[in-house]
Amino acid sequence: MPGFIKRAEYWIVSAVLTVGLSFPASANDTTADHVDISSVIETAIVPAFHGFESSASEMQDAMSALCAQPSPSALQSSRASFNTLVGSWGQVEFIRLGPLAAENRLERILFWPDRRGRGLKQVQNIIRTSDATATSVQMLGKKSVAVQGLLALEFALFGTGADSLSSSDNSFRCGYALAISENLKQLSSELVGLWSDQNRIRQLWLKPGPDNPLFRNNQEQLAALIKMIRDGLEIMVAQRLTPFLREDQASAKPMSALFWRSENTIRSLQANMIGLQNLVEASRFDRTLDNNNKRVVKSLGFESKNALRALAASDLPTQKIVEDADVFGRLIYVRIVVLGMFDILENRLPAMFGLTSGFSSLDGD
Amino acid sequence: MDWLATSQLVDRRSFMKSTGAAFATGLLPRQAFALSASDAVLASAYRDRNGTFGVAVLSEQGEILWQQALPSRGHDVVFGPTGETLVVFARRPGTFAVAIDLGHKQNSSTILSPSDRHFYGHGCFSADGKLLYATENDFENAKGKLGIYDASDNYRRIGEFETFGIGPHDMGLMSDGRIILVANGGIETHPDFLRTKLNLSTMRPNLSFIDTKDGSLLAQFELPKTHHKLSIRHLAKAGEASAWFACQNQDELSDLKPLVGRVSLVSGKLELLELPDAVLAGLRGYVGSIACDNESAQIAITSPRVGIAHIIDPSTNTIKETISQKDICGVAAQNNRFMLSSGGGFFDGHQMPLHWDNHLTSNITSSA
Repeated sequence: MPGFIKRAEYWIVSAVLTVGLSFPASANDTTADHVDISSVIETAIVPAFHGFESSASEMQDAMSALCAQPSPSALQSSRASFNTLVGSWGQVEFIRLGPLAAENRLERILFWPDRRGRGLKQVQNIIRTSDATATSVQMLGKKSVAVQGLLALEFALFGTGADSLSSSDNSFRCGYALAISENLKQLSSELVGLWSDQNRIRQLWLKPGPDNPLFRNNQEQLAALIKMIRDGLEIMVAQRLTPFLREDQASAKPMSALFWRSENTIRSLQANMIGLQNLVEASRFDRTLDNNNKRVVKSLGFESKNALRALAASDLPTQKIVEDADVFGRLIYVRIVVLGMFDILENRLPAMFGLTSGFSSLDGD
Repeated sequence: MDWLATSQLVDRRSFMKSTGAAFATGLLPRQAFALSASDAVLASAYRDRNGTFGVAVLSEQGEILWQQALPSRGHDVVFGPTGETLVVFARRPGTFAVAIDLGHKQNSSTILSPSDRHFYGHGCFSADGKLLYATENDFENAKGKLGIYDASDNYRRIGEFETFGIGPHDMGLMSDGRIILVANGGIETHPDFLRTKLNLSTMRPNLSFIDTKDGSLLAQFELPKTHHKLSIRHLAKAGEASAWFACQNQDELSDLKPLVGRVSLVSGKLELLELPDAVLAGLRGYVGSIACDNESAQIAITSPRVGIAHIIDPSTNTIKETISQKDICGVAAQNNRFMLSSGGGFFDGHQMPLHWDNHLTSNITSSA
């Protein structure tokens, strides 16, 4: 391993290599002109993490104000800040290359899916027992990842008994929620820092080459980007839409939707789509493609707009969504659209750029 | 893309219910061949260029002796003790396995996992060949199980043991014929979320020695806490109650971690192989297959992500040979040498029109 790369940095970037696309080191480097990683970092990734940090800071301020002077309006303000935070998180949560996937940051911010409700039980227990160690951000950071992130904060602000936050009767719950917001602010600042100019991840991702043990060529560089977007689309379907919508209205599970409690399910999906589309636009995939392939790339933008339009017309609590055939049908349509986009990222885009899929290199088999 | 389905598991099960019987009896082998106990053959699951999945038996020279289509992607293949029977397991989270009598004494048997279980793609026969064991996911309770199937009764499921961990993957019968070693990878998955890893922050992989007499746990070995995100996935038998194991690093943002080790019930030790940093870095956190040649005591490991295989002398921690081949993963020790295969169709120096799955199995010395 070349001396200029520290071990930890090496492995930070190696997350991208969990990819089902593999290339020989000597592959003919045909993609150099197709990918604009610099644009992706500067115009999509860094601004998105700054946005998340800003929302987390606003959330922390709102919680401080609520705990200092509880009132219905202060609670309303905190809930509004949470909604904003969900929106900004949704735009960064799929940027799992590097810092977000490291040191359990992803799980500390969002422990999901939580199939057996383990996180909720722990959060409820903390509130029920007034566990004082949960009101210190230092101590909270050492607890289960499931009690220190967005879903814990959502329960504190919107779950059973949350209205008591508007009076001084429930200072413990407020203190716990404040500690969570401080934790989220810390994590968001870490992420901004780790994507800063000084961090090696940028240097390695931007400069593939024979001495770069992570990105030997532009194909690996590009594959990492395609995988990131592809995985985001897959997560939207497999972890967000399908567990909620299931097969039909009768089998739908409205309380299996992410952020159903705060009625942010649709907001979260909208943010996901916006975040992924920002990555696509910043990548300038179509720069040197022929017209036919350009149309395929452009169709990603067209389809994301369709999905966003359908989501905007479906912004209801999840229980109401499953009760309304038209709204439910719109979300089924969104799922189909996302699947279509996935297919482009999974099959068509790699083919355009000469990226071949390794049959045996898929994860964990 | 099959994850469109609400539950892939349900869909596959429905498929098998409707077509499984016809599949099992209708797809006869393309080419009959007589297999004597002394024949050295290898087997692997594959996908052909038309997208059809199957399993093939090959000679050491790369001649396909026999092949059969499968309803979806297969994974590991295990031979019975006489070498005349093989079972191919569906790739996780598959719900079927197919048992085939290579001498045509009876038709293929399609084995379905129970409705609340799925296979992990690996298994092994008992020493007398009467029982088949399979690693399974009790996904509602997030527990690993060893399913037990009666080979003499059309592979009827007759019971199960605990694996004493989450996410069991590879397994193998130790040379005493009684103890099974299971690699509990530590990763919780549920078919509702397909292959999503649900517990990365808390995963605790282990190696469990299980007494097949009663399913009791004889010994369990864990990695050091600092390595708790090394999912132990594959095994290669290495002598009496001992095996080499290979890992996948789920914390790829950490420092370099050892990916290969050895565990022994006799010595009571779990030891990690200290490979040079450059070699470890080149594996990109994943060893896809491992094999051990018990005569030379050398091991072979593969990393399909990079397309590299190393033959290692563990006594000196030295790399004896490195083979670069795109998507290389399958490896088996046979007749004092290592046979290798790749997703690109490479098989021991031959290029073939099939995409080989991750594992290559010998009827003489199979992994673990």
